[in-house]
Order: sequence, then C-alpha cells, then structure tokens
Amino acid sequence: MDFDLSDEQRMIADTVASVLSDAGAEDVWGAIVDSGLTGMTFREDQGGAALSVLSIAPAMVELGRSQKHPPMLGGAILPGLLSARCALPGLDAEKVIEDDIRVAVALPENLTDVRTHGGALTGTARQLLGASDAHMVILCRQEAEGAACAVVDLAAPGVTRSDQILVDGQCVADVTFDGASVSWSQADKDLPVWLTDIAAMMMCAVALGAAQSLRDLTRDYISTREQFGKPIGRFQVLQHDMVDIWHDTEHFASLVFAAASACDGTDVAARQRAVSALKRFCGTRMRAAAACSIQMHGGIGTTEEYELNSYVKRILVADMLFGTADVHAARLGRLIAETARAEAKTYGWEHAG
Amino acid sequence: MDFAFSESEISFRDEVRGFLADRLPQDIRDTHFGFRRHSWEHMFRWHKIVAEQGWVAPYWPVEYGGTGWSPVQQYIFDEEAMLAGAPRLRPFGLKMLGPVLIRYGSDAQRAHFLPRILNGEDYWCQGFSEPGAGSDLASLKTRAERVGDVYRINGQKAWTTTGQHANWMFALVRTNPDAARPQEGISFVLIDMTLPGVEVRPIITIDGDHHVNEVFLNDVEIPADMLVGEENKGWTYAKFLLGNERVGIANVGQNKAEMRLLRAIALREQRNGLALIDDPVFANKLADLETDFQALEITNLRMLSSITPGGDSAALAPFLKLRGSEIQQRINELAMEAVGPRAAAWAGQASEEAAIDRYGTHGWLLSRAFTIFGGSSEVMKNIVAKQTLAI
Repeated sequence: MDFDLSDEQRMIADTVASVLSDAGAEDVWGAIVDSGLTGMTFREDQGGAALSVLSIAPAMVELGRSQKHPPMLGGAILPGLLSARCALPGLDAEKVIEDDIRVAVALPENLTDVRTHGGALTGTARQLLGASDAHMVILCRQEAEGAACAVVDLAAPGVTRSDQILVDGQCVADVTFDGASVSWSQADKDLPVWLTDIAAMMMCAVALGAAQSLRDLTRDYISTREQFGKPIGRFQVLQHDMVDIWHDTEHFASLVFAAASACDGTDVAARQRAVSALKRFCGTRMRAAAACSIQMHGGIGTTEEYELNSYVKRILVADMLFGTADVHAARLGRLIAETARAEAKTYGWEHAG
Repeated sequence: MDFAFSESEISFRDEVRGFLADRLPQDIRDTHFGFRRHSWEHMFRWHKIVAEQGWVAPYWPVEYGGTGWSPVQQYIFDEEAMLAGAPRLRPFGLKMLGPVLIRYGSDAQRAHFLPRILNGEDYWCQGFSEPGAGSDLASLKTRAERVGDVYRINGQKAWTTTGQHANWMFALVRTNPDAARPQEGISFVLIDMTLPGVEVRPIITIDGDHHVNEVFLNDVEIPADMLVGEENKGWTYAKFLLGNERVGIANVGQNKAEMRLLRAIALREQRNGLALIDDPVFANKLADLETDFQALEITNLRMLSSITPGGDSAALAPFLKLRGSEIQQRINELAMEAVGPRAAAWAGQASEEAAIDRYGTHGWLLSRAFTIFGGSSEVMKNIVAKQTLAI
C-alpha cells in the first residue's frame, strides 16, 4: 500500500506537463510524438512501452490542468491498448507511434447507429475522440457471444468525416459510413467494456486535474476578493463550501487512482465497481463542486474570459462520455446486488430474498 | 503507487482472522449477524478477550502494552473485527486517555492506570462537555480549586457516554477563572467516580436507550496528584486527545460491516414483486452510498499509509470524520427506508424479523449524534478552513 507517485509515474507526468507548457497550441501533438508519448500503451514488440494504466494516470491529471487538448486518449492511449490486445490486420503500430498515420477508436457507445450488412457498413459513428485528423478508425463492437474489431480507412469509398468541437474545446469527429467495406476480426468478450472503462477512468483523471486547478483558483479568489470590507473567504458559509470542494477533490483523487489500479487488474467485477463509483462521483459530487466554484466566484465565474470555465467544462465532458453518472449508477447497483446474493449464501441469509 | 496490501500485511490479516475465528464468542457474533446492536456487556467481555491476546491498545507504544502495529495494521484489525461481527472497543481509556497519560502523565499515573485500562479493571468516561459548553468547549465552567493537597471540584458535565458503567472520569475543569483567554485556565484531571459528591443521572436519547448521562460534581475532592501534566495546560492535552478520537470516528470497518447488513436487508425485502435490491430507485441510492464509501475507504488508507507509527495524525482527522459520520447516517437511513411502514414499529422483540424492522430506525435516531460528538461537522469545517485552507 503506497500512494506516493512512483518514479515512472512522476517522469511521465513531468514530461507531459513540460510538453503542455512549452509547446505552442499548434505544435503540441508534434511535441508529444517527439517525446515518445504516443507509444505508451503499445506492446514492446510493437515499438511501444507497454505501460500500465496506473503509470499513465498522473500524466492525464496534468493534461486536465492545462488549456490544451492534444488527443492523448483517443489518438494514442486507446489505439495502443486495443492493438496490444487484439490482432488488427491493416494497422501498422510502428507507423502510429511515429505519427506517420493517425488513428482513432470507436467504442460501442459511439457505434449505436452503425450497422453491418454483408460486409458493408452503414450509419454514423459519433463523437470519436482524436478522429478529426485521423487516417483510420478502429471499430470495437460488442456481440452476443463476444466482441469484434475492424480497421477502416477514412479515405476509403463510402466514408465521410465531419469534425466537431466539444464544449470543453477538444476536437472530435463523426464518421459516416455509406456502404464502406469492412472485415471484422473476433476479440475477447470483455475487450469493449474494458476499453470503455479505461477511457472513462482517463477522462476522470483529466477531470481531476481540472478539479485541482478549479479548487486552487477558488481558494485564491475568495482569499483576495473583498466585499463588505473583508476577503469573502472570511465568511463561514463560503468557508464551508470551500471545505466541501476540497474534500470532494481529495476523495475524487482516491477514486481515480484506485480505478486506474483496478483497470490493470484481472478482477473484472472489481474494475467495474471502481470505475462506476468513480464516474458516479464525477457526475454527482464533482459537477456540483464545479457549479459551486462558479457561485463562489460570483459574476467573474460566469465569463468565458476567466480560465475557471475551462476546468468546469472538462468536468462536464468527463461526466458525459463513456457512460453517464446514471449509466454507471445502474451498473454499480447490479454489482451490489450480485455481492448481496453471494453474501446471503456465505452468511446463511439464504432464506431471505 | 501500489494499491495492494503487502505480503506481511496479508499474513497479518490471516493471523487476525484466525484469532477472531477462535476467540470471538458466538453469541456476540450472532448479535451482529442477527441485525441487533451489541450491548455494553458484549463490548466489555470482548475487551477482556482482546486484552488477553495483548492486542487491545494497538495505538500505544510497545513498552506500555501496545502492539507496535503500523496504522495500516491497526486498520486491518479493526476491519476484520467488524466484519467478523465483533463490537467496537470503547475508546475512552484505550484511545483517548491512554495516549494522553503516555505523553503528558506522571510516571505514577502511567504505572497505576495504564495496566488497569488494558485489563478492563477501570472503565473510563469523558468529562468534557457541559450544558453550556458543547462546540465551544473552552467556555466550560466546572471549577476546581486547590485546597491543600486536594482539588475541590464543583460543576456539571453533560453527554457523558456510558458514564453509568464508569468508575473513573477524565475531565476538563477550570482552575484559573481569571486567565486572559478561556483556554488558558483549564486543567485535565482524573476523577474517581465513587467519591462522595459524584452523582450520575441518565439521559435517555431519541433512540430510546441509555447511552449518555449528566454527571453532577458537588464538592468532590480529588488528590492533587490526579492532575495530568501542568495546571492550566489542559487545553493542549484535550486537543491532542480529540485528534485521536476523530481518527477513530471515520469508522471505515464498522461502515463496511453495516453496509453488508444493509445489502442483506435490501435483498430480503420485496417491492412490486422484486427484491428491493433490484428496484432501480433503491439500487440508485445504494450505488451513491457505495460510491461515497469507496472514496472514504481509499482516502482513509491513503492517510493511514502516509503516517508513521505514533505520528500525530490530528491534521488528517477532520477529513475522515466528516464523511465517515455522514455515511454511517446514510446506511441507517437506507436500512430504515428499506423496510417501509414496518420501520415505524418501535418496541423490538426477540425475532429476527423484528430486529430488522427496528435496525434502521433505531440506527437513524442513534446516528444523529455522530455528526455532533467529537466535534460537530460545522466545527470540523471551521477547523479545516483555518488549518488546511489557510483562509
């Protein structure tokens, strides 16, 4: 049991932090490629570093503190994890790591409108992270008895892309298929859920960085802003709100790293419990903390110019993608019921229920 | 960063489980698994069994009968004991007074009182709060005057938990009413509850039980060597003691055991032909509770693993107390909601059915005190704002 950052975690986080602070908005992806950060999750025999989810999580916290939006998750972490665990004919991992080709991943929640008929795709894959300048998309879908993956070239006939910007400022794309040909390969049944869990956890790590910045900004603001002849932080009602934000941010940090660790483990139920609790916490307590921080700032908190709004929006988007708070509450509820049934057997409560 | 328990912690957990399997009496275990709450007699019997094992005061240094366990080991013991259905050991002698005597008491006080705390010969209560001094503890009025070789004490203490069972009380008394600040005129004394002038009157709380008391002190004369440390320095010792108390109040182990009871109740109850635990409305509430509990559990371990044995954890305490006490209240609230109208039944009977009906309502009422004692939530937030946030 050790909650300090390891040397490896610190090194990766420091690298990301310095890339984000030093590179201009236009060059940030190039700097990430040059720093070797695109290969973090690919296997070593693919030219990657095979890093664990827990090793990368603090780097994503750094991303959340910044005002930049390189597609670390959609363009590097998710493709690496997917291709490390599933054979993907047509995808050259080394070229992805070198940034010769760019890829994005479509998970089941992106694919609800996409159908395959006789090897041809129709429908629109929505809000794909990192897809706005990608050459290829890896589709990852859940099937009744398993899962399947396929690589689609975005320049192929019958494929069109439409770029979008999310509320927090990151670029995504919708990709529409109109009879594009596809060849699915079978994958492990847990793969789509596993990858979605990791994506959800990473979004929350970004939200944690944003929450930490939001907390610090709010504390500094109420310590210096004067009304009624004194800093507003002297008023008890604001102090108590500030303490709540402080505690929620610490508890959120606990859940982020515990979920990261669970994503590296083999216990599927434990991973799902950890990720769903994290996402539920993000959407309930952290969204409320973000709203409270605006309230404590007063008028200035409602402006687009003041940087607070960028952190608030990161928290909003982290809640929305990869299963909303309600979706995760429902899954957590099912897991709790499973636990209860197992306990009833163990403790002789079987006559109950 | 590593979220796994170490091999030595895992083998320690096995050792604790072995001890609990061998020594925790079946009737005490059945009390918990039968949705009933432990009595004082259960606690006292269990205290003696744990003391025989030498494990009753893990927070004390080894030379005074402590165990030398790390904070994480202490947590493991607590968690395993709670999950096995053991009662909570009462903190007054073990967690509150013991560390104060070890740090600030005289050699004679340590030699006499510490072994008697360990073996259960003395049972202590806490004489801090007064009718006019709750959150504002420093305004306490109970007066101690030095008269020759004794202190003569007059005043009234309130909310004295299990004072009806105690033969000793540690108390804060005012020895200098003229001090510049109220905190500077307070002393920490040890009062023999069998002395003339000590009168204990029950206060029945809203759960219908007798947990707390008023204690009247009329011309009670205690020997001058029952003063702990220096005269008028009692506030310093009390702050040290309250820091220790608050860490214990996070109650992660007990919360975990009570969440399991709540799951069992929700599985057993029916709603619209479904087990209640499968009802989406109730399942959502359970999920929110589980979410906050996971956050508390991990944050607690984060804090425990960052402090060294015997270290001062007072700064960490408010974090854990605030959310821990709130979670304990919510567990009981859901247990009460789960049984619906049957929760309105008041008089408990011996059957398991009745115990379940009463469990949540009784707990909801009982647990109102959890966000009040040991520093109310509002006072805790004031402390965090001042110390942690520097605002």
